[in-house]
Amino acid sequence: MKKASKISVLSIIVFICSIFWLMPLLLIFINSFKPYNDMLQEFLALPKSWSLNMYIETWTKFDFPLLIGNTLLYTICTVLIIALLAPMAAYKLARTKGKLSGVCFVLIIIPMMVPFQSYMITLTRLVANMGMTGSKIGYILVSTGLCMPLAVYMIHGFVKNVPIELEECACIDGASKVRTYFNIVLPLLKPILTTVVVLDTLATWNDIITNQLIVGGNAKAMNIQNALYMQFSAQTADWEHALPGIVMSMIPSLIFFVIMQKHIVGGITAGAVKG
Amino acid sequence: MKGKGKTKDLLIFALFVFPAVAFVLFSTDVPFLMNLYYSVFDWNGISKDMEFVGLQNFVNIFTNDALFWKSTAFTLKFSVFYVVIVNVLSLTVALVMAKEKKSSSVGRAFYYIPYIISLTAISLIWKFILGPGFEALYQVTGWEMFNWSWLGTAKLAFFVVVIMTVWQNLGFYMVNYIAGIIAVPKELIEAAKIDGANKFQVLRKVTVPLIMPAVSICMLTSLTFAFKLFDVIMVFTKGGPANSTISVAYNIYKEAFVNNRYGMATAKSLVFVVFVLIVTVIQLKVTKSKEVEA
Amino acid sequence: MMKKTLAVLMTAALAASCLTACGGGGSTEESKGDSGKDSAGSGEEITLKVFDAHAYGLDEYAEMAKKFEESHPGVKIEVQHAANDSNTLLQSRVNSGDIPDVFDVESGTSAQKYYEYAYDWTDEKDVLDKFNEAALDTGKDADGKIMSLPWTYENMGLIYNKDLFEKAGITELPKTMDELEAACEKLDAAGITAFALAAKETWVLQQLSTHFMMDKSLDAKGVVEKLNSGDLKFKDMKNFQNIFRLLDLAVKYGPDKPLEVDWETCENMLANGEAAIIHMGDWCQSTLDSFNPDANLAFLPCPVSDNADDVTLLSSCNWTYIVNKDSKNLDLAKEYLEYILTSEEGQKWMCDGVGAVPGAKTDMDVKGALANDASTYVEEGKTNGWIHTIEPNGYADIVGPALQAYMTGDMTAEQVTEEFQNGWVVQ
Repeated sequence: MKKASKISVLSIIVFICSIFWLMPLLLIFINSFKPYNDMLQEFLALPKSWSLNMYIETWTKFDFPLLIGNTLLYTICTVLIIALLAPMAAYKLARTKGKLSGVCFVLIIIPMMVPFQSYMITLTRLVANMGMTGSKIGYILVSTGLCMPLAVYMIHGFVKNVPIELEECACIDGASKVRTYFNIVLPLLKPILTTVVVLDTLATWNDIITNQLIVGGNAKAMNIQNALYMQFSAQTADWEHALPGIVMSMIPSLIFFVIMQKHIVGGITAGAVKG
Repeated sequence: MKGKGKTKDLLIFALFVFPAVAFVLFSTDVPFLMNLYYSVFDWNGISKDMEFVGLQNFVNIFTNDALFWKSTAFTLKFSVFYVVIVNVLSLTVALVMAKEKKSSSVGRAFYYIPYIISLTAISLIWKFILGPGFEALYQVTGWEMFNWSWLGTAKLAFFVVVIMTVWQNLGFYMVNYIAGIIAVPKELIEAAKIDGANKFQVLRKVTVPLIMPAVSICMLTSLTFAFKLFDVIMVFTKGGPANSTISVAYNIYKEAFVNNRYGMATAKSLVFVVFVLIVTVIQLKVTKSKEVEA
Repeated sequence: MMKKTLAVLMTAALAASCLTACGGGGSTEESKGDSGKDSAGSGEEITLKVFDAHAYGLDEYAEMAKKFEESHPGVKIEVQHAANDSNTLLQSRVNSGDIPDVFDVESGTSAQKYYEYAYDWTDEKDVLDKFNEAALDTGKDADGKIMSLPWTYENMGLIYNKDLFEKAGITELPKTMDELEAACEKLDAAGITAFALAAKETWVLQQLSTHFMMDKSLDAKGVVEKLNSGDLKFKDMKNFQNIFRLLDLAVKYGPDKPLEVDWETCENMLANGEAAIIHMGDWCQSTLDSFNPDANLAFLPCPVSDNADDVTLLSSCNWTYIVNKDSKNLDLAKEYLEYILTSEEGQKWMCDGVGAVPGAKTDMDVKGALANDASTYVEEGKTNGWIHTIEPNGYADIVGPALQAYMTGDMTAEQVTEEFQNGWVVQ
């Protein structure tokens, strides 16, 4: 009995602390209604008025429908390719022994250790040589490639826990290897896949630097964060538009996160029943 | 007969693995290798002319670059603090969140919020927490720590970076741990309980060993994140005060784009990657040995 | 072995096929741009790629670009405004062969690196005549050829709040170090924070230090040349040690946590009357206006010694525009640059949108109060050029943090002076 109460004390602490993590959202929200000067003078105070003017102005000034459309397109394409390719690679790499498999695995996870800043110039050059600078396809390819290592690595760790017997009996049944993967293995990977999808969705949604480098001056292919970031420099900062923009850009990702979190739990149960 | 089967295996392997490899080759591996070419040149990153200098850049790193080694020391120290703190905290939070199913999806979202918000906004908020926020707290509590100049003192600025990054990224590791914890079969825990194990014993003997895959994912990602620390430094501390928070990635970036010694920067990144590889391989070996196959 | 080779080959083939397949979509657009050159005027669209490193007057810029497009049917202006990390982005574009047709960089050391890509304006007298002689000097290469065209004058020095000076009973502007200290004392006695130096920004400290390197008998260029040749050493500069006196004042009469003050905070304090003096340039006009449009501000030429004549206000056209000499649409690029720098629309952008004095000759009224204030000094010939745009690469990165270390007490004045000397590496 005593033990149980101890745990719930911890739970209470954890839940209370979560407010400290929620705080930035509140602060950004409050300050998105303030003029620049009030923001610096009284950051913690409530705004003088809750007028939506800056939200509307930001919406039209930055052409938000276009930006949201672009960002959505990038996110969906990136996540779809990742969700298709990453588990395939991770699964096969985890199940295959030998040198080739080892080399491929290393090739995939090495980027996790390389700072992006150290090769972004050559990356831009490579993309340009292929004539894809400023193109949406070029950006999607790069952003997928950058998300791939972590995705493969995470799923790889998970696959090792999936019982091998299941696949073996499917093989005895005469199912082809490809079918075994899609019918038996993939459903089992659902929990980790959901996590990966959440992470990569948010990463792509919030990307700034890759979009800046690859898209260049093509305003038609910009994503939200890049467009907002352009309003800042070493000596100027347009918070009056940036904060409403950040709030608006965050709403979809927040809703997405909450929905997907419920799915992770659901996914596990579904997997467990099948397993 | 045997050869044919092998070829088929290889084809299937290629079908499964190569597309992913191709993406990574294109976006990182190939550009990184292409980049290494410049490490033996003296080049400003812009001009069409480059001067071949052999290994001079590497010699310079090891003999005449105090700032690089200062940034290495900072990065190592940061990594130790970050990896330990972020993993302990996120695992604790995840254990609670995985248990409390009803209230937890909102709670999880709370912890995840800083990870979603763009860093420019995060740094704005921290500037005000450390400024007017602490001022207000000082007036209420009278605690001297709220009156310290956190960003203006080298030692304290280090902890600002640690606290801020832990705070920002906790949600990421939490999500991973939750996925691992939920995957632990309930029957095992029930069985342990029936055998008379208390909650702490269950955690230590059953849950932790079974979530080792999640642990090794989190260890590796937190370690590589710490080694590559860049964004917070770039946007928030800018390496200050007096170069006390310069990370290796930031040092490389400045070398390439501010000081325009591109060749030198690539040489540094090579030295750095070799170093990181050694550390991560050791780390992988250590956590791997602790994993149990289910 | 066999297996490995096969794997490598297959990977390469896969990569290649995947990439070329996907690349097809992107490259069609480019070929359209190519054919546009041949059939200009026949309705094909030409895209002019422009890179602009400013976040000032963006609305006016858009207006200006739109008018150009209207008067040139079939021409599309594609601007990348990269105010943040402009160096990084420009560098990667140049490297990847995607060189913008028109782009701007900081004049001096930075611009020199791009001059091998630059169109040479030296012989285009018609265009050059539209600019001030001195402004054109900032775009010359080592041989005196004009490789880039100036944007606007930017001026920097101390900026003070007139109302606060009045409140503290300061009637005459301090011109020597002693007078400056006396002024700080007076402000302090009146309960006013005298100094809000943005010490969190290493670039502010570094720019501040250039005032104390000035020698009126040499111009900025002369000082740099002497430092390069080794004839002048930091420890022998007659005013240099006074930078430490100024930093001491900034710590003593500044906010409680001086190293936490960033540019935004110091400008906000000045505009709201919470601090009397900052070090900044007139580029901060729009930010100051957004904080408090009624603030009563002016330049305070920086005292650097005991001699009232030594005070410095530094003025330069520190941004300069380059036309890519290999541009597919060279003539159009030249025309566009001339348009944004000298036409009425362009001047509206600079004078109204940015609020600065253009490097081109103009009759237009400049909106910025600080820019107007500075131009009275410019006209009297009382300003000096900028050192920090023509100093060696990497130098700023060493001395800025060193000055911070002095303020935190981690380094002595002597050690910092030595850092300055060691940091000045001639390339």
